[in-house]
Amino acid sequence: MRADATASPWTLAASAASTVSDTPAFETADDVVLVEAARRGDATAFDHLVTRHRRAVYQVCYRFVHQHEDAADLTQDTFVRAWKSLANFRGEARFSTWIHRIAVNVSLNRVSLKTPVADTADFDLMADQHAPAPGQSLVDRERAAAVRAAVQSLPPRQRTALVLRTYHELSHQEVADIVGTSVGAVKANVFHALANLKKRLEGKV
Amino acid sequence: MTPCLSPDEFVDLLDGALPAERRAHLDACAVCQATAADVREALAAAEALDVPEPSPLFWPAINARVRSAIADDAATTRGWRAWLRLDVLVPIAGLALVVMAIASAVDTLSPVGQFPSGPDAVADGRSPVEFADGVLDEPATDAPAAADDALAMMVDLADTLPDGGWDALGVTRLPDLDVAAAALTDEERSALASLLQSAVERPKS
Repeated sequence: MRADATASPWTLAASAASTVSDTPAFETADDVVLVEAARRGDATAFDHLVTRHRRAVYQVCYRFVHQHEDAADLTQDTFVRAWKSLANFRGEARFSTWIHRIAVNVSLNRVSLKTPVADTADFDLMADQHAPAPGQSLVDRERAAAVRAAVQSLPPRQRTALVLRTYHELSHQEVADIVGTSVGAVKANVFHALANLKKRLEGKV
Repeated sequence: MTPCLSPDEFVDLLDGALPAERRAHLDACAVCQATAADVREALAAAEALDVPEPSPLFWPAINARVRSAIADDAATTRGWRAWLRLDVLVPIAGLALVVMAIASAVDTLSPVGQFPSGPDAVADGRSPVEFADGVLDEPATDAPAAADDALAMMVDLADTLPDGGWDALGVTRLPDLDVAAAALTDEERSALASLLQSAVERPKS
C-alpha cells in the first residue's frame, strides 16, 4: 500500500491498520526504506519494522519487568510511541538504536511507577513468581530468582547498561547512543553494576 | 608499580580488549585480580538469566496489538481534529466575534465603576444617581455624548423623584437603566421624559 502524500498520517494509520497487506518489496527492504515509508503513513511498512524488532524490544522490556504480560504491554507501548514519534526520527541513529532507547525509557518509566527503589537488604522479596522452566531444579530457580531480583534492584543507569551490554550484545557505543551518554560512562556503569551485583549476591547464591 | 585498573579497564578485560601492558599489571596485582574475579562471577550469574521464549502465537499477536492501538489512537485523534475544519471553525469564530462586539458595546455604554445599591449606598451618603453619573467614582470619560445626554436627562428627572420613586417606577438596576437610556432616540427620550413626569406627578393611591 502506498500512502497518499497529501493525507494526514493519522487518517492513513486508521485505514491502513485495518487493511495491512503483505508487500513483497518490504520483506527485503532495509530499515531506512521502511522508516521512510512509515513516516509517510504506510502502516504496512511499520508493521514490518515491528516484526523485525519485536523480539529485541520484548527482551529488553522483559529484562526490566521480568513478567511476560508487563513485557508484552511495554512492547506494544514502545512501538506505538515509535509510530507517533516517527516524524521526529531524523535517521541520525539507526532505527534499532532508536527503538531500543524508547523501550528502555518506557520500561524504566513503568518500573519506577510500579516499584520504588529497592532496599539492597530485601531484594530477595522481589523474586519473580513466574513459572519455572521444565527441568530447572529448585536450587537453580532460587538462584535465578535471586540474580533477577539483584539486577532489578540496581540503579536505573547501571541496570540499563548491564541489560543492554550483557543481554543484547550491543557495543558500548551503541549502548551509549541508546542511553544518551558517553562510552566511558557506559563502561563505568557496567562495572559498577557488576560490582553491586556481586555484593548483593553475596551469600545468596 | 603501575596504577590499578580503572572501571573502564575492568570492562575492557571482560571484553578481551585490555592492552598488554595493563594485563601485566593485573598479573602482578592481587587487588585487581580479586576485583576481576568478582566482576567475572557477577557477569556469569547475570548471563545465566534467560528470557523465557513466549508462545509462537505471541509474536503475530504483538503486531496485531500495535496495529489496533495505533488505529484506536488515530480514531481518538480524528475526534478532536474533526473540529479543526474551516467549515466548523469559521462559524464559531464569527459567533465569538459577535459576542465580543456586543460585550464591548455594553462596556462602552456603561459608566465606569460599580454601582452600589441598597443599604451600602445609603450608608455612605451617596445616591444611586451620583454613582450612575460617575461623579464619585472614576469619571466615565469614554462614554459617548449621546449616553451622557441621556443620563443627564435621567439625572434631571431623578432629582424630581420623591423617596421611593425609583422603586415605584420599577427601576432597580442602574446599569440596565443606563444601557436602555443610551439606546433611546431623541423622540423616545422625549416620550420617556413625558411618561416619567406624569408618573411623578400622579398622586399616590
